[in-house]
Amino acid sequence: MSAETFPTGVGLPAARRLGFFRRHADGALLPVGFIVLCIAGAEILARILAVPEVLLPPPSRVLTALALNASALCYHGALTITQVVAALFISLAVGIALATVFTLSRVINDMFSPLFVVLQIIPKIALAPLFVVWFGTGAWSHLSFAVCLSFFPILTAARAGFEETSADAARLCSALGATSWQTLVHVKLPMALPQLFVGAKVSTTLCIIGVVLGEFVSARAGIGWYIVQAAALSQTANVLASLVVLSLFGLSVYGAVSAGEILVRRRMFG
Amino acid sequence: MAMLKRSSRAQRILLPLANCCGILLLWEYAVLHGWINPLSLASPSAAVKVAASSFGVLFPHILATTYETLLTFVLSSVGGILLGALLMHWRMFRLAVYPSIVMFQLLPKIALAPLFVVWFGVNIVSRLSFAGFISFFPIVLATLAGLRATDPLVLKLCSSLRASPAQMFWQIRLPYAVPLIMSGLKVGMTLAITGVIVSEFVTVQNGLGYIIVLASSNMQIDLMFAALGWVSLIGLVLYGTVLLLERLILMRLGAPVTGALFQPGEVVP
Repeated sequence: MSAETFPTGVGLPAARRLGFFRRHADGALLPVGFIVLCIAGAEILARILAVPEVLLPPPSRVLTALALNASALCYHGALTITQVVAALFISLAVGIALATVFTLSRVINDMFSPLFVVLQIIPKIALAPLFVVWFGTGAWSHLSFAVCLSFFPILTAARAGFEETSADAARLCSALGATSWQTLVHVKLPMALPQLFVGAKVSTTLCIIGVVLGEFVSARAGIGWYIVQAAALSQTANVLASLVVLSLFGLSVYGAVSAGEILVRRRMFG
Repeated sequence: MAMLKRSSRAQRILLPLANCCGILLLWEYAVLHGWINPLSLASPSAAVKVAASSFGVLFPHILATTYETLLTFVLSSVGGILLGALLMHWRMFRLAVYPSIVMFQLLPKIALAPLFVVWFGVNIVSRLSFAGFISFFPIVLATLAGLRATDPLVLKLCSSLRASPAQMFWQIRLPYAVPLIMSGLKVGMTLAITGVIVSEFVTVQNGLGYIIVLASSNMQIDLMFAALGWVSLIGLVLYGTVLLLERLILMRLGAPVTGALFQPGEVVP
């Protein structure tokens, strides 16, 4: 264990040092240790058994690939991440707008919500090539495909959030003569925010999947395109390096959404 | 705000049906009158016609996709439930592995598809392992969550009645876990067919995913819609089967069956 995880033991009784270890063993040491063990295992396995680099490049080799192709990865990564973020915002807008319409009109809700349920169950990923036919091989095709995949969790979350609004608040609003629209904007939407963040978190992953898959099927640039190219040339280390970039992107977008959630929760609920 | 009245059962069934018919008719009419370029959106009738005329060609691919999806589903649900049970019983292992699995869920695992081709080649093994890889982890997490959701009072009662650990597992924990496990299986089934289709996109060998990519590159939009129709049908039937299984098991256990078709957490690509 590094010096950071162990307190400098001077003056501390041995029992308390053990207590510190115990306290942290569950929370952080075991999971981090497991990941380190996996990476070290892959490195040692790849080196000792001399596994061909195409099959299992040692993690150190992936790091080298990451450094060597940094500029290409940055270029393609920036394209992909822009589309992912744009797709997330468009999905939020589409999901909330649809949920609003569904909340305001029972008839439209009855007409369309079963359709959306069916759409949700069928594997929408099969539609990827259709978006290429419609929008070409550019960013629009990936963006619209990603939105098509990822607006649904937001729609579900927003509807759940709107329905959760306390009946008392709704009654108070109507007693004060608020219109449906005012109630929606000033009461229901803020109250649905916690649910919306839950939906946005699911959507984040779906947005990344949508954009990358769109790039797999047809693209001229972007991380997905880069992965397909590298795989076709059997440059496994480059594939893994782009996956590292993609994972970091994914985790940071997810982290940003989670941070937003915490902020909103603090503001709303103290 | 005036509370919206709950709609009647007839309204909830007839309205969507009428809506569906309306959309299909409008779509057909729009393509017929050239409002929509038939090269970018085949009319429903054209898609059905192609689906009928090319059924002989499509049939082996339909069979392949269904078979691969089912096999993936069975393998990953057996493996997932076993690993979930193992994680519940082995505390150290759970503490070490659980955070990694949860974090793993956030990563776009679909991006690994080309790597499976490098590893296993262009064959069914590559497709099965990729689809299994996609659908396995949600089942593990759902099983673990289910097995840990047992009412602690019941567990305490059983241990004071000296139930053996095996009895506790089979008669208490597992039945309590069924709703969550089944919810995991539903996600797993959707992910299994998703994984198979993506893998067919990438391996371009057989299956409906292959037909879709092929039709897209040949601009045979009607064939593509026929294949998409089949994919949707397979997806719906397989999901419906798991749903039916869920209801049957829950009824057998005497558990309340909720009306919701699927939970918000079960949303997948």
